[in-house]
Amino acid sequence: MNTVTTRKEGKKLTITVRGDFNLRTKKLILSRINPAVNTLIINLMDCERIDSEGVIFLHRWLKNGNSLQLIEPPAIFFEILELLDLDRSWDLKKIIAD
Amino acid sequence: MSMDATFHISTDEKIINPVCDFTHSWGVNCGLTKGDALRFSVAVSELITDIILFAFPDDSKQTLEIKFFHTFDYVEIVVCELGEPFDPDLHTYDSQKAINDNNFDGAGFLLIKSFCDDFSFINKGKEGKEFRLAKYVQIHEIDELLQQSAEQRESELQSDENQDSTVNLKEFSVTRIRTTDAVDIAKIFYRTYGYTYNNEDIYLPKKIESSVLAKDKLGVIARKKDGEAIGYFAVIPKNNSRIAKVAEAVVSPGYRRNGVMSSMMEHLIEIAKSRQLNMLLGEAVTIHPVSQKVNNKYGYTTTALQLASTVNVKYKGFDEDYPQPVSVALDFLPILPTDKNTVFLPDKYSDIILETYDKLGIDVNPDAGSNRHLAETSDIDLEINYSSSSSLIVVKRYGSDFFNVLSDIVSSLEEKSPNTLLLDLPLENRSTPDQFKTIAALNFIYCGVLPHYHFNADFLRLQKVYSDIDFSIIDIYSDFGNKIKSLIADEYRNNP
Repeated sequence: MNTVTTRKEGKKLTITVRGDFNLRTKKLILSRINPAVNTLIINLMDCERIDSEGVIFLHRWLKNGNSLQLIEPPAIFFEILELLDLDRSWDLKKIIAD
Repeated sequence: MSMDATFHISTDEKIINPVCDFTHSWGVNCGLTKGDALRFSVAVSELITDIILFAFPDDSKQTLEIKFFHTFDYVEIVVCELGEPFDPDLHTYDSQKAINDNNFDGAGFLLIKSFCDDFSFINKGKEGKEFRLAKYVQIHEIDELLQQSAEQRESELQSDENQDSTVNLKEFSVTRIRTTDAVDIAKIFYRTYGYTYNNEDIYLPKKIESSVLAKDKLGVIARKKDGEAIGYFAVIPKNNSRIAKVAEAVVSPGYRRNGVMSSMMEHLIEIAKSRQLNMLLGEAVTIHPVSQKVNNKYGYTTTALQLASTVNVKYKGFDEDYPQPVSVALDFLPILPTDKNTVFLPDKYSDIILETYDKLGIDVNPDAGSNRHLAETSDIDLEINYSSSSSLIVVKRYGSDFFNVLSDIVSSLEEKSPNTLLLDLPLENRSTPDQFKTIAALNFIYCGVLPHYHFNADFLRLQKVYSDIDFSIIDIYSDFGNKIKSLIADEYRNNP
């Protein structure tokens, strides 16, 4: 079961994804973002699986000039970034939170 | 191949997660590593997402079908849907377009191909689209053992034929296997083959127990008077017909030439009768005649020769690998008398088919068939065997779209560079002679007759072979088997 919980503080939206980060998760997150939000902090500690819908959503978010922080993304996330050849355009040191 | 589950699910994004979770757990249960099961489940996520987005862009109330299959060495998921046409080959991912133009077209299919070992797209025309995702179970060490197994079993068979037993067995019993025999069965295989037999399940008593319990496997075990197990022989019923395949025959080397195998075969035939099975089937490799000789001794008839049926393996007697994929003789033994059915025979093969029925002792009413109104759509099943790179197409019903659908399926399969394609046509369908003429352009050649093979009905098997075949090293034992071989060899040589 994938669930998404969100907490908004000003322009920052903190999101916790449990289960999958897929098409449905993307739509749930989009429904909770308003134009004022420019920073996403996404906790993926309990996210087991991400697919291209999730990765492309994150990529587009960054390309639009927004900020992004990911907490413990699953290993498959890095495999997908590499397969789609997007890793070179991501500043992973900055995006992946300690 | 076992089918483990079929889901009919709505084209709703809510189902992506539960289907992926199921795929992951099922994959692990079938032997995938957790990492491979996760990757495979991501591939499934990508496929369902693409179907929802592109085949049913505005409708979440349609359904798609997902079937889960597994064999010893791979898992396969087949997804069928009837949505808007789209072709994965037309969506190629380009990372420059993704980065520069925000165009991610083809990303999902790239991940599917990356996370599966085999991905096939079959366009079935009006029957919709079919996607097949397969992942190999990592069994590298077992692969090596399989080669040893082939050599060792060949030598065991030869010695069984040529040598006297070391022990003169005065008394032994043969009984039907029960779940409590599982450990002894595993032990017989271990004592005979070490850990080199090609079906790993046979070493796992729990697997044997569950197969016996589920009646997936019937069989007999031979024991000495003191209870020691010395032989085992199984019959594995086929899912969609009242026939069964004989398999997993073993007698401990020290107790051969005592009639143990004969006694077990006789018991198996009795089991087949008690189960009301119509037919037993033996699949005999043609690198040597030993298995065919054993089958022939018990009255089996070779009815078909399936070319290039298994991948190359090393066999004793050849300095190098057997130089071509191994062909298999299909030997059938009728068990119960059957009704006299009408069979509709293509002119071209009428004689050889009738001779096959005669050899089997099956009485039929031959008919040339007739033109009749066809259904709007055809009903065709497809099975892909990834380890041997072969596919089986089974025609269940002819529709007016038959040639187009079959051509589309064949074209899709040919893109995967197969070893063989098999095509089963229903002999009890009055349209078969006519439809046979329409598919001449597809260049299938004869394979043989499969009595009671699908849905308790007889089928004509045709084959299309993509490897170079040297017929001189295909060893067929019976005269009639050799007649079938000659016919096939002629067609193979004359086929453009």
